[in-house]
Amino acid sequence: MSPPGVEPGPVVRVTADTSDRSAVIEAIDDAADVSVRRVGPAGTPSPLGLYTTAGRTAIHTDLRPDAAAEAATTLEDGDFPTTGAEAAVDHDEDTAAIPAPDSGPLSVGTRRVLGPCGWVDPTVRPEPVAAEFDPETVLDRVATVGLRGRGRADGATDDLISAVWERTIEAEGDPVVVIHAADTDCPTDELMCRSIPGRVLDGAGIVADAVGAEDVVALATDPAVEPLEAVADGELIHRAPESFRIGEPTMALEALEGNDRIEARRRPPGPEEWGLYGRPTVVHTPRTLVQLRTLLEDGEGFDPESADPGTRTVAVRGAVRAPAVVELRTDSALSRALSAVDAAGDRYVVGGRFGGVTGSVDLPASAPALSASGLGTEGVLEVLGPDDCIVATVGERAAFAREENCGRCVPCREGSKQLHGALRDVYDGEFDPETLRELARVMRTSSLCAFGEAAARPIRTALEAFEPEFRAHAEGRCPAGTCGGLR
Amino acid sequence: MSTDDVGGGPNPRVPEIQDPRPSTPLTETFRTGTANDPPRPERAVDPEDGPATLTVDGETVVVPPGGTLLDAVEAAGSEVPALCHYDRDTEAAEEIGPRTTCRTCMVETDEEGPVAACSTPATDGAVVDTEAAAAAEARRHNLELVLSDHNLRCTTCGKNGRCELQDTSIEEGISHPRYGVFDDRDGYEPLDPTGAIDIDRNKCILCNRCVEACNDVQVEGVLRIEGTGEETRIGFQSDAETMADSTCVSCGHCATVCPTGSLVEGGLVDATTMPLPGFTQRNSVGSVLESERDRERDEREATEELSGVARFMSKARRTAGSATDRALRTGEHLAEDVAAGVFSEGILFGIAKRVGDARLDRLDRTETTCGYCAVGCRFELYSDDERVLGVRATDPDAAPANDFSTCVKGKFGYGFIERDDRLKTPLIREGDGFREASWDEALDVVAAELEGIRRDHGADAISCFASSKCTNEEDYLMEKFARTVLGTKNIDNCARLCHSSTVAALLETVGYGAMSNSIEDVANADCYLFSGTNTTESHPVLATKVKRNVRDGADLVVVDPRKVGIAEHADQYLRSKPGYDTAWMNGMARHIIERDLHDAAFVEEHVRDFDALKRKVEPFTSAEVERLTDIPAGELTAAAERIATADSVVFGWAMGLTQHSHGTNNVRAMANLALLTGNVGKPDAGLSPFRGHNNVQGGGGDMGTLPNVLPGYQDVTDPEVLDTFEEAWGVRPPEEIGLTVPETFEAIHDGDVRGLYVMGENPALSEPDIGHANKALEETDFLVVQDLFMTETAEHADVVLPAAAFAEKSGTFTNTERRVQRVGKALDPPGEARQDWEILQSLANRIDHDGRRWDYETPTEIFEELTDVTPIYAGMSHERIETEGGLQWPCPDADHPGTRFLYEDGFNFSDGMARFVPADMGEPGELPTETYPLTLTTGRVLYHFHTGTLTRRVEAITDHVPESFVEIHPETAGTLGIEGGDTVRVESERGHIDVRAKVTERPGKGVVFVPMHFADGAVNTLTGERYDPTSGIPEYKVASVRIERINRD
Repeated sequence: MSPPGVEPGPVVRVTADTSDRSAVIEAIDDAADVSVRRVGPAGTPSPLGLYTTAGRTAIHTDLRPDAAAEAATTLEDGDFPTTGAEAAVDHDEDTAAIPAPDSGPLSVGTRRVLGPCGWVDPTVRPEPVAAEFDPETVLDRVATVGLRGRGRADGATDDLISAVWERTIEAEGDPVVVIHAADTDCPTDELMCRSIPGRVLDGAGIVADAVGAEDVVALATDPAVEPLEAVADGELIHRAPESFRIGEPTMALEALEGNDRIEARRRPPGPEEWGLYGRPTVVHTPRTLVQLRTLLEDGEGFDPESADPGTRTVAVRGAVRAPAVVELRTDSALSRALSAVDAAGDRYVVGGRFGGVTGSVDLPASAPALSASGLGTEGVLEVLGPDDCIVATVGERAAFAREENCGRCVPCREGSKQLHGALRDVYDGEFDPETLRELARVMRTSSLCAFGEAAARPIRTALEAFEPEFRAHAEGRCPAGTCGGLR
Repeated sequence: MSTDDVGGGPNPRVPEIQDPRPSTPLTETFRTGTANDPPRPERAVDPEDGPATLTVDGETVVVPPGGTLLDAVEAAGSEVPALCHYDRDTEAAEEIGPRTTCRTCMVETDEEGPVAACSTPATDGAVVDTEAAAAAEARRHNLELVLSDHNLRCTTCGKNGRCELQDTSIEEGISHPRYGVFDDRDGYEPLDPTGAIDIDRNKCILCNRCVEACNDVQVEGVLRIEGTGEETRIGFQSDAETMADSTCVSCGHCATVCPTGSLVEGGLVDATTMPLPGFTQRNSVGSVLESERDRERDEREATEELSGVARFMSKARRTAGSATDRALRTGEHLAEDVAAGVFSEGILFGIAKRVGDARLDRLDRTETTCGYCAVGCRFELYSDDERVLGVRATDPDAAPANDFSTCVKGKFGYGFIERDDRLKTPLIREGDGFREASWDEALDVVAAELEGIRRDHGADAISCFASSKCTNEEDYLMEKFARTVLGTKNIDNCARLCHSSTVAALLETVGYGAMSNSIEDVANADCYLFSGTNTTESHPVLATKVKRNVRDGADLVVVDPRKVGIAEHADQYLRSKPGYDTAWMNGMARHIIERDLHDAAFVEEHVRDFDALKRKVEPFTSAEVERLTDIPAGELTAAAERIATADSVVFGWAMGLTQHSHGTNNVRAMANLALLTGNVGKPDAGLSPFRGHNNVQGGGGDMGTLPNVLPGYQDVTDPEVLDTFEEAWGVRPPEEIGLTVPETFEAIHDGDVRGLYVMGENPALSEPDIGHANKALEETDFLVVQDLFMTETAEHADVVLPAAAFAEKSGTFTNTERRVQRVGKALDPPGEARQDWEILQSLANRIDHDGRRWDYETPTEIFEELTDVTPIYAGMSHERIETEGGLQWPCPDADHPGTRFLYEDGFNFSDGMARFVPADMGEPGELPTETYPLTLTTGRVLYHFHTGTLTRRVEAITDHVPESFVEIHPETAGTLGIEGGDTVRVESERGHIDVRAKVTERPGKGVVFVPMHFADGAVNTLTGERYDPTSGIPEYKVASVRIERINRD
């Protein structure tokens, strides 16, 4: 037996986002006697075939069955398949991450938590990294570093997770850990569940030990369920209904409790004190959990002095040739993420569907920096193409908020309706930026949950950066030349 | 019921993780649609938390633990609106909210920035700024957003003038809401006027108060919130589309708490609208929903061929479909539209509110006590000159029994008052009929006839029946009238038929024939043993408190042959066999003693005759009890242990235990269990016989309307007692024990009683074996009936005197917890009808007697007199009762605060000890035979009261249960070839009735149930004249019958 991570002989890895992966693998198996691994997606714009032998890996993106078979045959023959490769990289034989090339999407940013994605076998659960730590040590290290939660689905979005844990520990009742892997707004959590589910669950185990929870429950999107179940060891994995709304943590808890109508819960207190069935509940996204695990595995790269220690993942989508997930140090510029894709535009929505609209992404990728600029911290960078009309874009998001809100609080339910109506009015020549700004402000300051707080962000930021676009529409002109009105 | 169709299938519900929240079994089917919010701040108080000191707008305020920022803002004298917050500072009101949906209460704190004050806990040291720009902007903007989705039709709204949204908008100076108001007629949801409460969803602001009142206060599970986003609306948990087709029990909580005109009591819908033709809510909205029930009624009316006009009117009442209505509607729309075009909304508010205020001024609001059951709910009656329009909650301090709760009868049961068939003039028999007469003539006839009987046959040839429905003052006079004016010893009342066995048993065991505890104790017990009480239907408001307490973790054991509503909430339901109750109670006592679980110290110190009890219960092993009652041995012992180990237990019962030929033994066995477990004389525990009539405790007992006791339960055979009364009254009361109600009927048959005076009772329906009772009424030489209607009893009368309904009189009622409360007069009696005390006074002064002339001017004077002769009422006065929220007897002097629970300082015997009175097991007087193989049991339904004299005359109520029925277990029905809806004949040795069959598992196999309220299908045609030897209570709860199908629709 080889030690874990060390491959005996030539190995071919085929990532899960490959179209018709079975056919590719069949072709390889038919052509050559090499070990083939089914790995999860790597977050790259294209699916990958990784051909490894003796500390050297050739990275291919041409995954037509005959091309793959040819590369595999080369590998079997003791040669290295450089023909058609994007890159060839030398590396440690026992590396647990895709070896980083000097160029191409995999070279962008710092793939620390994403590294194992597309490399390790998702069906194998790694050794727990914190087995020998006692809960106080874990809490202490997390608090000292000041690790923050990632994603709107997290129970501590951009807040110190140690503070949330402490409230859970102090609260009455048996604590629970909920893995929230059901936010449809950001693809990164699903990616992690498919590629490194064992690390996600191990991260949850660390939290469970730290807060004294015996139960770990995951709420996951459909594609994430099977990979999580494959490595689950006592964790309860549940399939989430497909809904943007349940990306909000209290609505996820409602879904887990089986409520037939999902609305946000009143706070305070939040889930950390009153969560699943009223038990103190730590809700974390896979992004947070893997970041946490990485911190405990190797604290290097987590600067306690940083306002947002660690890395941030950024899913780039929109007017790009193919979307990708990139990992950036929080002090590097968000614009770095664009080099992983072919972006066809210079206006952006930062922070998911309810992100902020901006013409510049030359700012640090850290949550505090993004928030300070009025942008979202959801870890999504959407590129708007030349044909994308700003007014139509924010109008569609207002319509979405109007349709998808849970209906509980007035600023969100009635506010999104008025917001949408006011944008329609723009097309009829009525543009009242002051009322729009006030409404957007009121929704942010007084909505019951993060859904309503964020729902008006696209408009608020678009008014700031692109007010002339609105005026043009009110005058009957769409600068993008594509606007057919707002549904 | 609509669910959230968030794609991707159902939500998981995490079955592996137990939901640790306490719940009643009903919780499983509750689908309120609302989130599992954290506990309300006041429920999440850590015992170690102290009050919080904080600053609001520069003022330093102290808020008790559990307080919110809204409390702090109010304490500081600052004001923010809080539309969705139900502003009533009581425990029950805390069940509602904070929903924190409207966000019109935003304030800013130094730590957290803008927050909703209603739901943010007040923390020590916080600095709150209500004037901060962001918070003030959000408050006002959100109020305008609320208005944007509110159908602002104040001039056609039933809440005009008492609408919280209207008030808030005026206070906030909203003259022109920036988003306008919801006035898109095409977008209107149709009005739902099908139930007792009208629903206008166009005025709904989704505060969810009604849903919480329905689910968390009433614990009924009818309403829910459904849909999301703009589709969010208040709907039903069942598939129903209309109120009438829902499972609504019309308790009225939702309308009571609704801040706008969305839920309005039917009678108040147009009470405050613009006083112009066409300005009605119905016209304003236009389209109107029809319920299944309406459609069925239309079909019924079509087949019954109502005459054209009557049918038209009947339909027109429910729909706005006629040409006139259409014309009026157009007028209203035009007027509203013109107004909306000319005036800003703020001016419209003002105009509408002035109209509303003016119209409200013309409405009378009278605080009173409910005239139906003995829970003693208090509220305000809204009335005009002719009728009661609606009922609204009164001040919490004035409503200790119910706070803002009501049931269908108290909230909507007033239609009988305005009925055309009310008696309006005295009537004198003429041949087979009656002729109208003047009061002078009628009273002269009565006086002469009664004097004649007294002269020829002696005073004891006259019997009087007092009424548990009348006021204390009136029943006191009735008893005084019998004993001093007529000089007869025969005075009794229908309490004989309900709790006389309770009174007998409790007098023997603990000393007072009354509930030992308070509703407050019932609401907070740790555990309950209920038997023979259909609490949810007979005492609905009390039942809501039990349901809430059980939901919050209290244990409930229900033992009953019928799986009544309260049993649905029970931790343990044991189905017993009718007539064998002493067996299971003795069995529990035996098991408790055997396991040494009894409260030995309490028994040693406070109870005599333990050994006698021990000997008596010895044979009742759990196996023997199982043989006798079919209650599984394990269930019995588990229930016994549950009761024995609880901190405090309330033992609750009603007619199911008392109305047996061994009813007194049943209650003795219950009292023994309470004493054995040490649950008497302490808070949150005790003996709770739930009394039936509004004033059965006072008028049916305390006032001495019984043949063996004078007011205050003073022995008629005690010469010293008689001396006192002789001094007070100037006449010595008869010192013999008089005849009970059933004995009176026997005596009539025997010719010993010839004159009968009946005040507000209907023995022709309520007596067992009414065939026999009616014969007695026929045989009476002279019968006087004082009532509201030509009752089945009055039909036999020689003189009928028209009396006043409870809304037409003043005085006091004493509720089931011994609380004496004021009754207020909202209306004048119709025609020449008079209050009962006035009638009795006029008559007393016409009949020759040795006492002083009666010259009471008001019920207050009568009350003053009765407190002089009734030691347990001695410290009371109308004034004290009014200002102190009622007083619970004993209240021996003017400084005494009244008594929440009895026996804290010993039992009501000279030695202060209670007594175990071992209970013999009786068998039912009638056992099933080959000819009559089924056991009939009887009782009530929620929607009716007693013999239905009142409730059968209220449309809101007959809508729910229009006719009698028989409940049959599916297996029994199968054997007999009966299906639900079949008309069947129920027959006993004494007679038969034809009723519809309901096939249900509520009764056990071989047991059938028929309600007691109906003249057509009168169940007492079937019951037998078998009585409890101690108390004389008839055995209504057991009769042997057979059933056959006679036809199927």
